[in-house]
Amino acid sequence: MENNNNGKATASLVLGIVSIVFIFFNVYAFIGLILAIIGLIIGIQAQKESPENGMAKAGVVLSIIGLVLCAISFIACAICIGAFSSLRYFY
Amino acid sequence: MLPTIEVLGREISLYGLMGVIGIFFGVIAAIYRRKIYNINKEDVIFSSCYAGIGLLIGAKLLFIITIIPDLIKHKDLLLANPKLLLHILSGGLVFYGGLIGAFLGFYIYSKQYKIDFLDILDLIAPSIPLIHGFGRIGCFTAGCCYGIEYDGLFHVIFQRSQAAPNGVALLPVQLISSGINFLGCIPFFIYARKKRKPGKIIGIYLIFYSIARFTIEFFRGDVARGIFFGVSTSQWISLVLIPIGLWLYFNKFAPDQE
Repeated sequence: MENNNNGKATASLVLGIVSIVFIFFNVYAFIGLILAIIGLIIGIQAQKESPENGMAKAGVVLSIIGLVLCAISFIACAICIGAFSSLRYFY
Repeated sequence: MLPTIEVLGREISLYGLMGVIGIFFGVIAAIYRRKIYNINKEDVIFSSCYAGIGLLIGAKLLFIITIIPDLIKHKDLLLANPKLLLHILSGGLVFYGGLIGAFLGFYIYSKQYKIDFLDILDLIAPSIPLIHGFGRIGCFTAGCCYGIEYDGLFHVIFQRSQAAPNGVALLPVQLISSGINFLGCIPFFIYARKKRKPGKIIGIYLIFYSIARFTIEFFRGDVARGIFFGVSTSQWISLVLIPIGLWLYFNKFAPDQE
């Protein structure tokens, strides 16, 4: 159980770090977004199973940072619902 | 207005930034209010993370649903240039999709970690208009979700927006929407200072916002609104959410805890 928990914590930490790297890839930041989401869910699970696990805590924090930064980076050309009007821009 | 700002040589979207600022203050407010519902700080933060993930997925999914006809219409262009598709998909978020997605996120968390679902919703309810108020300021900076043509008092003219028609006088409907949300959250926070019957607070929010959104939609000028039978997607969702809000408000099955 402890090993399993450590595995989850490590996975969360790694995913959190990798997701942060993706903030520099503009539109491809969505890959970082997906990694951060997975890292966050696994990290929360590990943290809930053993609240004292520092690695899980770090994984959760890094995944949150990755999620936030990738979200900002991904929606950089943000246009709410009228995004299709931006097609004119690309034509 | 000002779609992006430059931070350390990188362009940052103010739209996304305002959304993140809104979520930050919303979660802080929920953490501050958590003792009313006896929910610990970790659960507030973790459930907000689940809700945040649901918000992103839901807002994006509803956006994709509303643009399906356009995607089909331009499919040849999009197939020839997949990066363009990625650009379009990166742009759109629909609030109602985000709201429903966030509720689903809270639901999954509450089931997974055995927390009362209605308690979490009631805890977070006053934070929603606060978050949304910031989000609408973000819309204004990007020029999206713009209003109808209007050249009266307080009209706005966009100059370098990718979404709004540039050089045309428009109603600043994003700021009106933001103002309604900010003003609405004040009495809401006051009312929610003590524990009410489960579902009552979130019920009030759904009724308040659905009516406000249904009305505001008439003053929106953006084209891709997913109109069905003369009513937009968001108005249809408002019509569905009003009875749900009323049902939650008058929830007779819940024990009275006032």
